[in-house]
Amino acid sequence: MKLLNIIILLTFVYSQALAKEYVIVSNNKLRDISKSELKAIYLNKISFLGNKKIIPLNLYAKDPIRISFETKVLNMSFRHLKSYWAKQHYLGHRPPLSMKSQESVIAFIKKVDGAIGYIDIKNIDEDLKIIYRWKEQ
Amino acid sequence: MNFLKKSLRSRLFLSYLSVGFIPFFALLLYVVFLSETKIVNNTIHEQLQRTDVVIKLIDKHINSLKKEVSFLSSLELMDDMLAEDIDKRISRLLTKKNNDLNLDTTLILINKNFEIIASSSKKIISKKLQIEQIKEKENTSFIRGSILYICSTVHASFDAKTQIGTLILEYNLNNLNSYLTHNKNIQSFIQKLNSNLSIGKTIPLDFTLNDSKGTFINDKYVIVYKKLLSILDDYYIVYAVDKNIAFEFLYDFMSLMLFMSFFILLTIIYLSLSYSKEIVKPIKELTIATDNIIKTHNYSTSLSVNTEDEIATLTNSFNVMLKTISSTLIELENEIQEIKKTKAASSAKSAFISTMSHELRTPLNSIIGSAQYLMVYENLSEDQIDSMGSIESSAQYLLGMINEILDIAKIEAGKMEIHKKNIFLLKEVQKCFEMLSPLAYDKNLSLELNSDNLTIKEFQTDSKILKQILINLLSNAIKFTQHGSIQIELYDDEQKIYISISDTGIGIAKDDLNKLFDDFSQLENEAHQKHAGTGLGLSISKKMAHLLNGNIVIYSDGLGFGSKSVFTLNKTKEKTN
Repeated sequence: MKLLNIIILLTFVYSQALAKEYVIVSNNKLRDISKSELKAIYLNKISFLGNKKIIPLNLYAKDPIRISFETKVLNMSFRHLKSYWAKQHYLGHRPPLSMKSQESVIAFIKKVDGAIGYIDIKNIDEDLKIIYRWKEQ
Repeated sequence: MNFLKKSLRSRLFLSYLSVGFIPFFALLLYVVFLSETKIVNNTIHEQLQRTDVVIKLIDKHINSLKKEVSFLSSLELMDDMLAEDIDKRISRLLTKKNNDLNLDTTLILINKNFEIIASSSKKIISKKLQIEQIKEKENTSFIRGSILYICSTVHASFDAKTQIGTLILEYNLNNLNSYLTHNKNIQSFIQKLNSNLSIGKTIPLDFTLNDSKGTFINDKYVIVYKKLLSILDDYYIVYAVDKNIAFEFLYDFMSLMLFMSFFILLTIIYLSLSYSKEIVKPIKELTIATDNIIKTHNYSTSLSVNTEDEIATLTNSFNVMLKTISSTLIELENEIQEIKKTKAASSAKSAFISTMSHELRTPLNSIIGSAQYLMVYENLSEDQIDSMGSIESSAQYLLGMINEILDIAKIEAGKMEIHKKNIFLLKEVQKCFEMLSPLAYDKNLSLELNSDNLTIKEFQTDSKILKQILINLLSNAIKFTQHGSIQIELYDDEQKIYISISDTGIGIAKDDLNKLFDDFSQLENEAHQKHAGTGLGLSISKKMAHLLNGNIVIYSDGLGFGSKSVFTLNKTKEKTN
């Protein structure tokens, strides 16, 4: 029984350790944003929240956090997104800026008001405000 | 110049020489004096065109750099600078672009605080750039020292109004060196106006650059300069063409020409000499042949003709002349032979006559002697005395005639001897005058002697011959004068002594005057035929006068007007006539 308890505990801990958690952050000045607002911002459907221009940041295409964000938060496949942006391109809209690293994203967000981006929760610090979080199994 | 007048060959030579030399000399003059300016002008034109091309190329180059910088600054990637380029994406891009430019340049990205965010050169990242010009304008280009700064502001891709920094291209102006020409004959460089700043290998300029373009020529270079465009309009591009090398071909050509001119001179001289010789050659041959004929007197030769020109005509004429001369000479020689023969015959005749006369005189003398004896000493009847008288007078006449013939023969044979001695001229004349005055007295003629104008007294001559001439002339005068007077006049001048005998006798017709002195001629007219004579008197007198170095001339105004005989004697010993 004791062994079983240990196994259960280990499994839980393992599952906790295995399940990565990601967050969408902004600097402290930005207000809270709902998931639907978030989706509209990333698909360039809205760019202002109130008077504030929102600047969404992507990571580069093959980044696992981006893939997770697109499937879990935007609920759109890579192919779907690709065709979406192809259409938007003709309307003069560009996809969000893409940064190469989480460090860049953090630096950018800290410097530019209205910038939001997704990072691993491990990299968070007190200057950043968590807007939304999700887990990746 | 004198030799030109005298020598046809020199003239020909000189004309050939001038014909050969004038074009050559003209070419040489052109090359020496005109071609240099032409080449200089060409060089200037060429270099100006070249500078135009280079200036355009440089302008294009700078403009393309500006576009490049502007393009880079507009990239979305530049937003990375907001994240301090943590991922080095901008730096990598700038490094790659800078390498692509392959020039001495540096691309620098600065933020609004002039902190260097990214750069193609790793060393200078995170330093601060202190250039105030960047503040002034958004997109600007300026030059500091030898560096051209091309700036372009960077805007955030999400907000075109937000200037997030500036992209700067540091362009070392020495890069323009690749547009400059550096070879041994053309030196080009870029020089800043009123500054020591220059790009490329310079040469010292001893003049000031001004205007938009210009040219300058000094000892060593032909220099062309022109202002660069836009941002570089403080700079001049200078092209200096080394004269020595630019004119190398010309100088080579000139030295070749001068070198060749020596040979051409020799060739022209040689050709002129040989051609003039060729032309003058037949003339020379003609001259030599003529000289030879003059020396040898061989007029029977003829000259050969090798040509068909004017000289051939001359030679032919000359040959014809030679033939004529030759035949004339032969004729002359024949005539001389004839004359010699005649002379020989004549002297033989004279010798014969002289001998004959001598042989005749002896029997005649004995006839005269015998007749005189018979007339004086024998008692002959009057008829007999008359007959004897006519025998004696005929014999006397015959003797006289023989004596005269003998005299002529002697003179002609040159055997008359002259014995010259000093005589008193007037005395001798008076003797003759006295001797003949009875004859004049018989015919009732007055005989006068006038010697007022005679200055000379003594004179050297043969008195015997002189008297013979005078007696002959006087007796002729008396003989042919029936009434009137006979005047003897003696006078002299510086050269001659004159003895003039004038009468009032029958005179002589003008046509007959020149026949007077012929042998055996007595004029055929009534008056003369009355007078007996051999007709030898005047002839002998004239010949004798010649022997005494004198002469006799007879004047008459015609028949019935009397006559005048003038006997002249030369004072000098030279013979006249």
